[in-house]
Amino acid sequence: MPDDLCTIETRQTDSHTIVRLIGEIDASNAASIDHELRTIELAARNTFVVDFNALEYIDSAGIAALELLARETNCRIVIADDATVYQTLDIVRFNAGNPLYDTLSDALSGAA
Amino acid sequence: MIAVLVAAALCSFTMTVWFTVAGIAVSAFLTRYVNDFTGVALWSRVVFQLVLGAIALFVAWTPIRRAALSEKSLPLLHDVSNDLFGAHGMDELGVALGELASSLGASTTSLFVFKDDQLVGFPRDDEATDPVHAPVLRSECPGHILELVGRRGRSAFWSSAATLVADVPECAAWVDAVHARSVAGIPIRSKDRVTGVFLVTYTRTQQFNASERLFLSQVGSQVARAVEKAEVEEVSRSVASELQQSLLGPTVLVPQVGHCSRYLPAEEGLSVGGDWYQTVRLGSGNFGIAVGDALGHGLTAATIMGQLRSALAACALTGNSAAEVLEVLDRYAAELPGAPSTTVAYAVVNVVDHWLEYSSAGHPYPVYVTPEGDVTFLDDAQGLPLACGDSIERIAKRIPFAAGSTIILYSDGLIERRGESIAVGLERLRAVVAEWWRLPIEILADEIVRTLFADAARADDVAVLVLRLPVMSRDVFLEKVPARTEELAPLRHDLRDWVAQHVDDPATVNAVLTTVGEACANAVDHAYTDHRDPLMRVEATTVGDEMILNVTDTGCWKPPIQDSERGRGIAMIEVLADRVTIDRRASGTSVTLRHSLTRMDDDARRPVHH
Repeated sequence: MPDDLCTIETRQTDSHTIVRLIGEIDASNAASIDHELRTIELAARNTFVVDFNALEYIDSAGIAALELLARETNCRIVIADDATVYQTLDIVRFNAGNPLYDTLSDALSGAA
Repeated sequence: MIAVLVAAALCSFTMTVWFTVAGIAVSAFLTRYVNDFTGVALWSRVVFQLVLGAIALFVAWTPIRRAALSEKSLPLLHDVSNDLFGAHGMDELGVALGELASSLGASTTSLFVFKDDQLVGFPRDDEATDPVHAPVLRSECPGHILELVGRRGRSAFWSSAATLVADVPECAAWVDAVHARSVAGIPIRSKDRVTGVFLVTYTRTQQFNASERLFLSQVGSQVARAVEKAEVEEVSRSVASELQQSLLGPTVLVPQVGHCSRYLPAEEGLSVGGDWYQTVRLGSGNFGIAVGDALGHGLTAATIMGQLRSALAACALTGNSAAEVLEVLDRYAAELPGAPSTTVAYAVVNVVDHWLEYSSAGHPYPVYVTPEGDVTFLDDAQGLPLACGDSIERIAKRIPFAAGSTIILYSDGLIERRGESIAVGLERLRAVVAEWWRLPIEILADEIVRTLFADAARADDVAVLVLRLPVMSRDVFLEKVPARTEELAPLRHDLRDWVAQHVDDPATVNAVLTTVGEACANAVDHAYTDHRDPLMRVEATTVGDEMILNVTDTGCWKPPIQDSERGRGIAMIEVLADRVTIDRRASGTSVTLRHSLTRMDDDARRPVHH
């Protein structure tokens, strides 16, 4: 599904399916991003990794959708504390209780 | 005989009769039982007569003292009723009642009446300027006294605190708290029913003789009549005020221009004025705006206002020039009793070719602010008030009105003060606008009213209408778009460009965009579903090292608790913005966000939960 606001880059390794979110997620595209990610995750046979570091904006609608997705798919979330949306996610304790990975390599190795 | 003479000389007919009877009785007694007319008997008779004379003098003096009191009490009663009947509405009456204490030589005077099944004390707690009244008002005791006088159906006078406590044990703590030596409770009747009690307390012991009781009862009946009058006035005021508000209603948010309006009733007295504002979509990029002021107050003014306001909208839709619109309104007003002499300022704003045309019927000059912040009064198209004289030819003046221009229409209540030249008021307004013009219009409107009435109560009602054309200058950002999710991103991108001119720090930019984004998302969620085309307006400016942003919509926000996603949005706003104000108005919701642009310690805002 093409989306001007946010593009999803997918990369496969033997053990991981890595998606990188590039752009912005708000109420207008949260549902379609969620749908697209779930489609990718369903097809994935290995560990699902979502990289937030290239996100430029996320609002509460986006957070709500992605948090549900993270819970249900048990994916690994990559977000560095100097990422643009880090502050936003931190305020709402995004994915509280589960590890957040600073870098992609941390996420791939499982070292939070 | 001396006693009889003294009584006759000093006193009334009744007293003379009593002393005559007493004298005869004593003479009879002496003649009957004292046969010995020796010196001793004569001496005792003389002593007896003297004692009787002294008693006569004392008794005779009492009514003289009373007569003196009633001579003083009549003008006093007159003053009391003047004070009470000069008050408008229960709150003012309460203040007047509280001030009676000094003229009555009492320590406190207060009134307790049932309002909507609740016992309410006057003067109001917060209006009791002296600390003496406060403990009187904050007690159960007056309620019990009211119950007692209601049951007895007559006034109660307690010369000592002890007798009051004996009658009403609940008042024990109260008499101590208010240092009451003597207390009078006068029932306040309305339609033969005791509806309240007028309570007078004294820190000195009062004997409450017959004339004092009579006087206090008379004061009580004046109070009762003043209460009836005040209640009638309150009903009339609330009807007129409701009519005024519903006739004015919220003006519909129109696309392409940002505007907001305020109506504030007078703070003094009960007058509901005839001030009004109006906005009309005229088509072809034209918008009509007006503020008017009908003469007089109360229901009549409100109804005239309503008719003129509708008539102006209809006249405006004819699409003629501002002058012609007012000429048609002149003809309408001439036929409407009470309408002549109404003042109106009317302007047409064209958002395509960017001009503004105005005409004024005796109304205070509109304020025009250029996109650069130059403030001028539009005083080149003044004419007479409506329907004054025969077929007036009105003039209109057209000025350029570029993106970012602001026009402020207002009624004279905003600038006029008693005993002050209008020029002073105009200058005061000009100064406020010159200082705050950059502010989002919602805040500008509030700021104008707040500043101009910071040190003066509103003696008249006030209508203010502010209109600004969308702009993205360095000073001001104003965008107005449909309240739909697909508008969120383009709006955000425009705002990001504007914010970037003022802020480098990415965290602050993100905080600004996120808070505005959440406020807009709320606007989209809660825009009236039955609204023709719900809109949201985002405005931003910087004042000093603070960025002030305002998001206004046509919707009603739900309490956040009912919706976890929105609740989270509000939480994000509250954490990310330095200050948040949410105003839920009849016309919609207005969120004002303030972000400090000087981040002393960036990390302080980033609690780590890795």
